[in-house]
Amino acid sequence: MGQHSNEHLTTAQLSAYLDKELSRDEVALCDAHLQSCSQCQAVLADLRITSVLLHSMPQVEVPRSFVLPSNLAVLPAAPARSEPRMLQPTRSQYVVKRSLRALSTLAAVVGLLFILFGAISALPHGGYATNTASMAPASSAAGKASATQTIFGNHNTPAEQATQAAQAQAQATRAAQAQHQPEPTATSSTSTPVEPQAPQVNLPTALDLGRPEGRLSIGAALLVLGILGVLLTRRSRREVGVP
Amino acid sequence: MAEILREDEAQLIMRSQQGDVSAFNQLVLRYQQTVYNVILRMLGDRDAAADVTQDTFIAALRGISSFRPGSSFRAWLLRIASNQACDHWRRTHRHMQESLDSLTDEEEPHATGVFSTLIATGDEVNPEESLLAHELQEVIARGLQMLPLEQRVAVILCDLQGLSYEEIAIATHATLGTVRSRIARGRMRLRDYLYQNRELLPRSYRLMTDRD
Repeated sequence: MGQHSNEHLTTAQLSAYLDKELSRDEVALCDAHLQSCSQCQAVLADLRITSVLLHSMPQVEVPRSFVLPSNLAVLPAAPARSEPRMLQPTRSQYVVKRSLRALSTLAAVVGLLFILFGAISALPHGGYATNTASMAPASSAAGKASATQTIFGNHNTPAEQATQAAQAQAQATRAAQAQHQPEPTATSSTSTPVEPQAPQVNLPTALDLGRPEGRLSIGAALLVLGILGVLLTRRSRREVGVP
Repeated sequence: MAEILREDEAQLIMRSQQGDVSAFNQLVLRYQQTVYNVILRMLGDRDAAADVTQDTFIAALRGISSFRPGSSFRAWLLRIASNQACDHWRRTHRHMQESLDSLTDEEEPHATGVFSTLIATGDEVNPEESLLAHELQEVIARGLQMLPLEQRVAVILCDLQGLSYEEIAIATHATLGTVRSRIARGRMRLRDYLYQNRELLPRSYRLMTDRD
């Protein structure tokens, strides 16, 4: 502790000293200090009196037996009283419901945004659509690869585009070469080993985010889902009243 | 004897954990006095204390599977009891702030004695005075309810129920250091409160102070 015996003791020390809940070192320290300090002696005496008064409080007889009915465990959901505590198991359900509601709202908002963007780019000179188109790599060999890129085309950095173009080229080379060459060599300078790509899935236009129609339909779906979710998890009036 | 009792208790707990309500009810009979008194001293209302005691045993039965054999059942049960009592207190006293907060916040080590003038006289011991006068009991009970909840629980478990600091730490889910400080603060606040009502204190303290 590093406490000197001439420093006053804290009330916590004195109180624990009274209860014999101090370590042997602390007891020695307290003993040494109490011998010479009337101030701490007085506080200790006060604490002792308070404690003794409390100890003297009588135990009150129970007004009735609190023995439980034997069928209680069988029916744990039937509370004897309508205490709010008994309703507590619903708290976790409430949290789930609330997060579902939040998620649904989010989905609805995102859906609306998609619809909005879809609508804007569907206009004849919608900048968004033309941008996406122009960002798609022009490499003719990368015809297949460009499909993946247009899905999230606007997120591609030039570097990524270069890599993907290279991959596409490698694929093209591989296709042109005969099959007896097991390890195709990448022709481009970005020579990361090219894994054979999974066969491209041609997404239907309704699901293609790169197209305005895709954004419109996905947006609409999200909006409907979101609204449904909000309606289903909407808080009832009764629920608000419960503390 | 205590060993037999503990073994018997372990048996009752095990049977309760297997869904035997009659075994659990034997534990209820054994602890209802303690639980009721702790809750009564916390809430200061007999009817509310009875209700909360009943809720405590219901909650204990439902949660009995979470009790770890070998640890103190009394501390475990009193933890449920004090949680239930605190919940009840907060529900019913939401508007009331801790009224003793205005009193001294005694973390200073230089606290001085206030009772010293009262204890000086005490040669002749009146046996009637060793029993607490009814008024004084009321004052102490009221003083307890003015303590902040955490200090109140700690003081009640320590001074009224005689639990060790370790058991109180389990029952209140706190560290030993926290328990120590809560008990000390609670006692000091009570001391101040009792001093304000010192005309009700018995004239002689010698009998009590010499007892231990």
